[in-house]
Amino acid sequence: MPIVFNEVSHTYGSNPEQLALDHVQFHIEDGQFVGIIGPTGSGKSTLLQHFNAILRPTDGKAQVLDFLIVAGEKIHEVKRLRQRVGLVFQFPEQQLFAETVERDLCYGPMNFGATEAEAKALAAEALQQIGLSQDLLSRSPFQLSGGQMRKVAIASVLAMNPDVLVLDEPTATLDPRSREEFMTLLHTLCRAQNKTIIVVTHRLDEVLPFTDHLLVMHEGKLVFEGSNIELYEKAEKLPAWRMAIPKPFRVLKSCERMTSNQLIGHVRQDGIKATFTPSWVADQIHHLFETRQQDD
Amino acid sequence: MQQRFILGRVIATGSWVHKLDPRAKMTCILIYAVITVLLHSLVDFIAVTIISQLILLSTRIKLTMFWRAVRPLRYLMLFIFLFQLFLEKGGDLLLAWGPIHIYSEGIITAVFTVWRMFLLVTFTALLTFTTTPAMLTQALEDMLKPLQIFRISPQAIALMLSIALRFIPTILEETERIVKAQASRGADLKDLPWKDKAKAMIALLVPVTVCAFRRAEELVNSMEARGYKLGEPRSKFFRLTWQRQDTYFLLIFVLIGLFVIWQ
Repeated sequence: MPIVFNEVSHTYGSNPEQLALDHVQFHIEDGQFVGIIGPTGSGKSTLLQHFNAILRPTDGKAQVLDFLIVAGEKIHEVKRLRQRVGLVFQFPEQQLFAETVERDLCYGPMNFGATEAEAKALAAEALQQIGLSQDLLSRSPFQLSGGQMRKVAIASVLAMNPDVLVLDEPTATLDPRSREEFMTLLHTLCRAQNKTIIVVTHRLDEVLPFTDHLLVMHEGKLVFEGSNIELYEKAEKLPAWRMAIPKPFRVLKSCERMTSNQLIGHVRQDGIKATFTPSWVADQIHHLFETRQQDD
Repeated sequence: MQQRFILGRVIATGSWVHKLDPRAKMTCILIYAVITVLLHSLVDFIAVTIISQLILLSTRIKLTMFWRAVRPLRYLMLFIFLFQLFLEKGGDLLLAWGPIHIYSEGIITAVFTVWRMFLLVTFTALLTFTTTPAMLTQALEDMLKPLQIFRISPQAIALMLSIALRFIPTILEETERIVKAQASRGADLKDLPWKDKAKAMIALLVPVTVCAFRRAEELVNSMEARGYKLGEPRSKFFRLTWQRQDTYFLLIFVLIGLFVIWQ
């Protein structure tokens, strides 16, 4: 089941005049890797808390899997929705509390009625999915390194075996290498288990290689929805949305200018999946120069 | 969560009360607190209520804002009211119903006690509504100077207080985020039965405490990195000056005090 937002608005009680979300509309398919990007204060975090009804729309309606969330109406079985949509908040490692990693991982499944044995099996599986050793299970979460703690915290949400995993700035404060590893890990989860992964970030370049679908937020409004190559076409608008144009975009744009050649036609025609990784960019540059020489 | 927390929020209107020396305000509140305890007759109560509400009005902040400060205490006030009502046995017996006996004195004491609390709480809100925490702590530091004789550092107390005040909103915000994260993992505090609520509180308390400690450590390090050392002389951010209005303000309270004692 897809996730469809229809004219969803949200205002906070403390500031009723300002729309934190301003008539947001989009459509996310099953099993997609989605990037939600935007500068700080653009409403990304508000949007993401709508996915499992931690926040409710003050106007409009949202369809999340088979749950319909309508402003002002009660949702049946919120708990089941929260099991199917796992939400990982910013700095999740700060939310660990149990004496052992295993107990922390079991917390979610047991809230959703799993028996102890089932919860333990889920915990072990989640830890393996996130790429951590099973030895950690008996350790105290407070003895782990920062990166391990974050992975454990994400595993604690994965342990509920959600269909949709929503993460708020999961790579903030990680070093560049772990950041890339982390995104690759999420991408693998998305592909191997057909989970919908939604990543909220303000770093466009880190999600570019993985996303099937991009949403750009600016001042509570959804200003862009589409694939990464479609965003590339509209790259010149990014500064107006208070975001920098990512490096691969800039490199390709200047190559297009130098060769007075177009990238889009070629990518569309050949049905290539745009990834904007260095090697993909190199290929495109090569192609741009090649086709120019043929024109001469 | 932060909206319910009304104390500790400054409302700037630039009235004369805002401009008073915080030391004057603090001293006055102390005198006022003593006065409210000394109130005995209805005349006292009415007089003090009128004067205090007039002073509150002169801050140009809506009176209802001050009254709202009482709201968190409503259950405590109700409890105290009932306690006095049922247990005070003086005057005439007005009502006897099973084990419940209500006497006329009981009603009077109950009303007066709650009235007293109302007077005190609304008025102390004046201090926090009209004085920034920084001013407040500096005034406190000045006023605690005599404690140095007992080797108690007023600077340390003032610092503790200012840090505590500073961190209230931060920790509330953090708590709110953790509550949301727990709800996402299927432990929604709102729809849990009482027994499980206590259990869920542990899941909340541990990360909040860990966060508070981590923050405290970071704060100490960053303060020391910028050269702060407790007890060393350092320049003050504000210079507090005692002006004529401060003396007048103080006089009002001394006069009310004398009036109440002579009554």
